[in-house]
This record gives sequence, structure tokens and C-alpha cells, in this order.
Amino acid sequence: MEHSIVFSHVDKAYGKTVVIKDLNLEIRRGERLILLGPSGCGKTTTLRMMAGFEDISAGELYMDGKVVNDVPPGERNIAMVFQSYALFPHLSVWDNITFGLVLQKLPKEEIEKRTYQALDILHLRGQEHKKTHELSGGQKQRVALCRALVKQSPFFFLDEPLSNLDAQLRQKARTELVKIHEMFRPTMIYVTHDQIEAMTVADRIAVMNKGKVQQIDTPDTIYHHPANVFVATFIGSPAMNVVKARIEGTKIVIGECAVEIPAEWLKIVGTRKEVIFGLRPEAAKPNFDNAMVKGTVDFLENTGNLKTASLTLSDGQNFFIQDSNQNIDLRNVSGFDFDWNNVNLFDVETEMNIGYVKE
Amino acid sequence: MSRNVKEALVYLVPSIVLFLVFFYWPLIQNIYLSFFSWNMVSPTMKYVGFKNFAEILSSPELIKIMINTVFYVGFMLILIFVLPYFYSYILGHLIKKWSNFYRSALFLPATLSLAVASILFLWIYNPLAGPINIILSMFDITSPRWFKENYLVIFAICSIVGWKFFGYNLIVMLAAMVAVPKEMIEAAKLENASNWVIFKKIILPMTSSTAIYVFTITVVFSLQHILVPVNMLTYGGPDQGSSNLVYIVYQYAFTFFQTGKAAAYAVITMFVYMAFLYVKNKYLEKKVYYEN
Amino acid sequence: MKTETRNELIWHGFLVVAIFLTLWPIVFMISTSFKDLSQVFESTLNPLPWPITFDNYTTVLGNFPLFTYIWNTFLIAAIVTVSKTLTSVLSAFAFVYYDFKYKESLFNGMLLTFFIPITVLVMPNYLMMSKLGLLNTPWGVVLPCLVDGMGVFLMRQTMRCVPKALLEAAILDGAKPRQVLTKVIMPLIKPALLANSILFFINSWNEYFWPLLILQDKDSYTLPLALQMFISAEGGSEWGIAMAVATLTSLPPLILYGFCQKFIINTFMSSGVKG
Repeated sequence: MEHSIVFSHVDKAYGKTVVIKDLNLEIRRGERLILLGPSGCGKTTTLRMMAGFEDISAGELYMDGKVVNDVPPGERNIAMVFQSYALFPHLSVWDNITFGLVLQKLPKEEIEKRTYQALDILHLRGQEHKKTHELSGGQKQRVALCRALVKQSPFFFLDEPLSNLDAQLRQKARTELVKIHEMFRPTMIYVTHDQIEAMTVADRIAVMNKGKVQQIDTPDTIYHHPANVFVATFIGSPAMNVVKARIEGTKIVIGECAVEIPAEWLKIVGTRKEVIFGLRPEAAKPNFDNAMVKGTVDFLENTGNLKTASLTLSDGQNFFIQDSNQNIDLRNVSGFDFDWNNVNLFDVETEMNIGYVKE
Repeated sequence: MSRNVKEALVYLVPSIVLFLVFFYWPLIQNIYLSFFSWNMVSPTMKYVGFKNFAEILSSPELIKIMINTVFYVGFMLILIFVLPYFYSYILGHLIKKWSNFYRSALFLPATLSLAVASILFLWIYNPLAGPINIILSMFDITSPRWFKENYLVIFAICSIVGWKFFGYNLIVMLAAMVAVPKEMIEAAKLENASNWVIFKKIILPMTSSTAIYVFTITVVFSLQHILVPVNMLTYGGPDQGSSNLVYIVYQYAFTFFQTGKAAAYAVITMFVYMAFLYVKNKYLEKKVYYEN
Repeated sequence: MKTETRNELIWHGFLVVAIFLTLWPIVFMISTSFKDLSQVFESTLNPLPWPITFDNYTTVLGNFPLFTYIWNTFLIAAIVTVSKTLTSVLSAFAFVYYDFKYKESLFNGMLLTFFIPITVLVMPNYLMMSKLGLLNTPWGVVLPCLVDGMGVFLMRQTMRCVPKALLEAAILDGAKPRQVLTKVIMPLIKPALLANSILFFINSWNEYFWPLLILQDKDSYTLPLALQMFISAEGGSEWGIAMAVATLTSLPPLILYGFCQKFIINTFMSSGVKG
């Protein structure tokens, strides 16, 4: 069986409020799947259903080929890292890590072997007798990882595990996490609202919104070919520009500027009179005298490595452009050019990506 | 969390059984007894319908008891509701030093037995040789017979119960006082608000839910606490002058052995309590500010 | 700033008055217990008797079965404390850990017993104890005091403060509900648990009214009941001796409070905040 966790038409409702409607999701054995979405999108609920903390209102959840709807959490063989780490404040680091193993009544030698191995991997050797309140935030996070690691479970769940760390530690922890996963390759499901985390850690990302999976694919595909306007505007900072554009004959009119549509794109556009034009800011090349799409600069931002300008197009819509060339002055830009390879077009009604031309 | 009802019941059964047997069953039993005439020992009970209630409701005794009860509640509210409220404001917001010492010391009597407090104050109020008499005689005042005069006896008894429970209510109220965010008060001080304005506009609304709680337990429990000094020191006297709605039940049951009347009084007490709680919920809770 | 310190002094003044009224009777009680008869009446207000005398205590010990009273009081308080703590913890755990229909109603039903006037309960309970032949026995006193509605409420409040994630972490690790309670919740709420038990103990130790009904035989008396023997309402009492018994009765609560004052105050501070 190739899939290790399968959601089949799963609903979740609290009383009359439906949180998740008809969720279908297939998670592959050993992959790193990231559930990404804004707060309230249902990603944590989805994870908690897998862990068994939330009842499933309708549909089936399979883990390792078996329906687990009614299997209690303790019998699902899951290792989990909680957002708050959930370390037991009354226990030492060692007792925290071995808590589950002792409950399972594993032999003492086995417990020690696994724990020392995990302590070594996470550079916690020597800290095992400390109480958890003596640890720094980063150490607590690693102890929580350790506790998950020693269980050697086939399922490894993480609920926003890095959100309590500061930015620099977070990057280090991210790489560490991927490294550990590579060692043991459990099926890893990771909930986050941080897209950088999602992009760097994931094999595949499932972008969720309003209780539905909007797109599930590799980080690359999600970034370059978002399935709909929501995904396009959720990923990236600033997000993908999405502006309304008219189709006039073989031309697309973006902010009053008509641009010829290549033949292969015309097929995709079909009979539509209007589309949503999507372009990443870094794919919009600044042009200083004769731009394909004209606009005037509102404000500029310089983050050191990147310069960002917000343009107002002639029809009043906003458009971000970005450039890494430090020698240009975006203040005098007249508009931007683009390459059709970087374009995404969305339907006005459904907001779905209507297709793209494979390079 | 877990929905395993059977498992939950395992944890709940001991409490449920005990609550049913020693709280809810007596409640019903008491109502049953109120329809009978009985002396607690005789093997036969005589069914008398509502006669016990009718007798009570038409007796002048009830009026006296009710007036006493109102006086008791009034004194108690001043001693262990209004005063602790005021003091908790001082402790929580008006002083900077020693507040931990004050609160620990003021709580001390709450740990002592009401029986101890009663006997202690019997000596303190002793009209011949007690310390209060000595202090009063320094000012050429003859000490009244505290436990022998109508109304004075109610005050004297309230002072005993008040002494014990002042600190208890103070601490509960203080918890609400210190929960009022300091920034809020500092913001008001920047606007030059006086302590009184701060009290009225911030403290009062922010602590109202706890205040209502303390008000309720004061009304509900004061009468029950008063049982102890009354029974130890006055037996309801002089001439029922220190009896109240709660003590009268004890008197009828265990002094006069009129079980039916005692039960009827208990039922009336319960209705008065229920009426109080109802009125409280209806009119007071509406004006209360709850954090969540 | 100067007026501010002056104002603060006034407030301290208020507090000193309250402290005096609160503590003076206790000081007075203890000092009187060390006075002989003439000192009691001649230097009534003097808080430091000299020479101090232990006569009152030796008289009490010589003429009354004081140790029996102490044992009776302790036995009742101990059983009540253990049982109330146990039942409160178990039901509070069920309310926090499990989810079932009518949970809130059941909880309210338990809490409500706290507000049932004691007089409604005493007569039927007395008759029940009498029927069971438990008058004049500690069991007669103890039985109706084995649960406490307020205790359930306070324990539930305390357990609610344990982060849910901790319970879930334990559950994922395969902990049975019983183990979640004993290995995670109990160790974490230890201070509140201790404070609650101490309060149960002190309250039971101090209880006067219910034991008064059940224990009529002098040998079965508890300390608060025994106190009554040393006074007569007419005033001709042996004040020194009465104060000695009062002091002895107050000693265990005072000592417990002295040691655990911080726990107790904190528990009380949290009980006022309704949930």
C-alpha cells in the first residue's frame, strides 16, 4: 500500500458549524507533507483528527490501510511535537523523553539505548537531568523532538513546532528537522502558517483554506503554478499580483495596456472576455521607458537584497514589482515587462487557474 | 476529550451516590416530614397536611424571626461584605508595602473555630469583668449586657461571626482587586482621576462579579454560621431575640421536638433562599461585568 | 509625591486598626490562658502575664479526657479530609477529561449542594444516622461529610488550568486515563491539592454544629464541643481554663496555617474568580 494516511470524504462539524467538508487527502508513506493555511483554515483540526483528538463527523480516515475513526489516540502509534512543546514541567528532561516508553513497559536497556541515541542526535547529551524550566526555548523544542523521536513511530506529527522560536533559531531548527526526518523517514505531517517553513521543509504542501484543500503539490509547483487565486495570493511576500484583465481579440488589456497573446495561450483563454492575470513580483521586469504594462510608482521598499516597488496601473489596480539589482533606481520606472512563461491566468468566476504552458 | 461515558462514571459514582444520599434525599425527606406531626421518637407519625405551614405563617413568632433575620443579614453585610470590599481596595491598590503581611494576618481568624470565637467573645463582652467593660468604664460608661438586650444581642453575635469571616471574604475580594490591570488604573491616573473616581469607574465594574459572589455567600452562609454562637451563648434568647430563620429550625427539631414544624420552617427557609438567588440572578447579574 | 506618601500613611492607619481588631482577641485568648484566677480579673487587659502559670492547662489535662477529645477531633477531620479530597479529585477529573451528555447539569447539581441550607439537611440526616445506630460515633459525624460541592468546583477550576496539550501528549504516549490523572495532573496541581486538603481538615477540625447533634455522649466529644463545658452563659466561668481549651483547639489550625499560609491564601484568591 503506497499511501500511509488517507482521508476519504471526511467531514468535521462542531454542532452545526461545519469546519471541514468532504476532505480527500492521500498522504504517501515517508513523505514530508505540510499542511499550510491561514489561521482557522482547518489545518490543525485535520492534524488532530489524525491524532485522534477530534472525532470524525463523517467519512473514513485510513492509517496504514485500516479505518481508524474509532481507534483511540494512544493506540495509533503516533509521535507528536506540540506547538507549546507540552513538556511535563514536573519531570526531568530524561523522564519527559522516556515517559511513553516507560508506559509501554519497554526493557530498560532498550529505553536507554533509544534515549541516548536521540539525545546525541539533538545535542542534548548532558542536559538530561535538568528540569524543563531550566531549558532555553530552543532546548525545549529539541526535547520535544527527542520525545517524539524515541517512540520510533511510523507517524510523526508536528503542530507549528517552530512558532515559539525566534527567527534565527527557527532556520536552524528547520534544517535539523529535515535532517532527522531523512534519518528515519517516518510519514511526517507538519502544520504551519509560515510559508517559508512550508517551502523549505516540505516534499509536498497541502494548502488549506476554509476547511478545504486548495492545492496539494510540490513547493515548486505551488509557487509557480498556484491552482487558484487563493493559493496565488497566500504564497510569496509580496504575494503574486492578481489583476483583472480584459480580452480584446488576440490582446489582453492589463491596466489599459494591450499586450499580444501568444497562440498557445489563446487556446487556453478560449472565449473568455475577462480573466485574472497573475504574475509574481520578481517576474515583472522593471522597464524605464517603454514598458509593456505602464504604471506609476507609489512607494518603494528596500530590504537590502531586494528592491520592491508598488505601482498603480492606469486603471487604478495595484501591482508589485521586485528586483535584486541594486544599481537601478525603481523610482523612475515606467512600468514592467513580462515573459509569458511566468504568467498564470485565472477564471474570473471560479478563480481557478485555467492552465499554463509547460516549458 | 474522551467520550467514554462508562469510564467517566467510574470516577463520578462515589460523589454522585454521596450527594444523592446525604444531600438530595434529605431534601425530599425534609419536605415529606413537613406534612406530619411527629416528635422524632414516637413510632407513629400523624399526617397533618399543610397545618404546620399554616401555623407558622399565622404566628407572630414568624414576624419576629423575619425581622431578626433581616437585622442579622444587614449587620453581616456591613461587617463582611462592605468593609472587606473597602479594605481589599486599600490592600490591592492604595498601598505599596506590607500588603502580604496584612492579608496573612487578617486571614488568621478564618482558620479558627466559631466555637472558639464564641467563647472568646463571651469573655470579651462579659458585662462584669470582661475587657470591653473595663475599657468602657475608663470612660465612665456602664457596659450593656451584650447578650441580654434585644437587637444588641444580634449585633454582638454578628461581630463574632464577622470577626471570623472578615479575612476570608477580604481575600476572595482581593483576588478580584489585583486582577484589575494596573495599566488601566495608571491610565486613569494620567487623566488625574482621584482614588474615588478610579474606584467608582474602574474598580467597581471590574470587580462586580466577585462582589456579587461574596454578597451571595454572605447572605446565604451568615445565617448558618450564626447557629454556632447563638446555640453556645444565647439559645435564641432573650425571648427569641437572637433567633433567626435558620436557628428556629434547630430549636423546633432538637429543643421542642416538633419535627413537622421544624421541617416546615426548613422548607420556608429554602424558599426564602431560592427567592433570594432568583432575585439575585435576575436583577444583580445583569449589571455585572464578566470578563469572558 | 509628598501628598501621596501621606495618603498612603492614612491607608496604613486603617489597616493597623483592622489588624488590631483581628489579632487582639487571639493574643488575649492565649495570654488569658496563662493567667491565674486573680490575674484574669485584676490585670485583664495585660497581654503579657507575669508570672505565667500553666495551672489552667494542668487542670484541664487532669480533670478532663482531653486526649480523647483531641483524638476524636483528629479522627473525624482526617477521614473527612481524605474522603473529600478523593471524591473531589475523582469527579473533577471526570469533568475535565471526559465529555458526555448532561455533564454541565451534573456538575451544577453537585455545586448546588453547596447552597442547600444546612438546616434542611440536619434533621433527615440525623434521623438516618440514628436509624443506622451511628449516634455518638465518629462515623455518624463523618458520613454526611464525605463529599463537598465546593471541593469539586475548586478542583475542577484547578485542573482546567493544566494545559490540554500536556494531557494529549500523555494520551498519545499511551497513558490510560488513570495514568493521566496520577502521572500528569496530580503532580501538577499538588500545591492547590495540598491547600484544599488543609482547608478541609481545618474546617472539619473546627466544626461545631453537626457533631453537636450526633455526639451527645461526653466521651465522644470533639474539641469544639468540649469547649461548651467550660462556660456558663451567666458569666461565672473559669475564664483561664476556658481560654486554655480554646487555645489548644486553635493550635492545630494555627500551626497548619502558619506553615502553609502561602498555599492557602493563593487557593482562596483563586476561588473567588468564577469560571
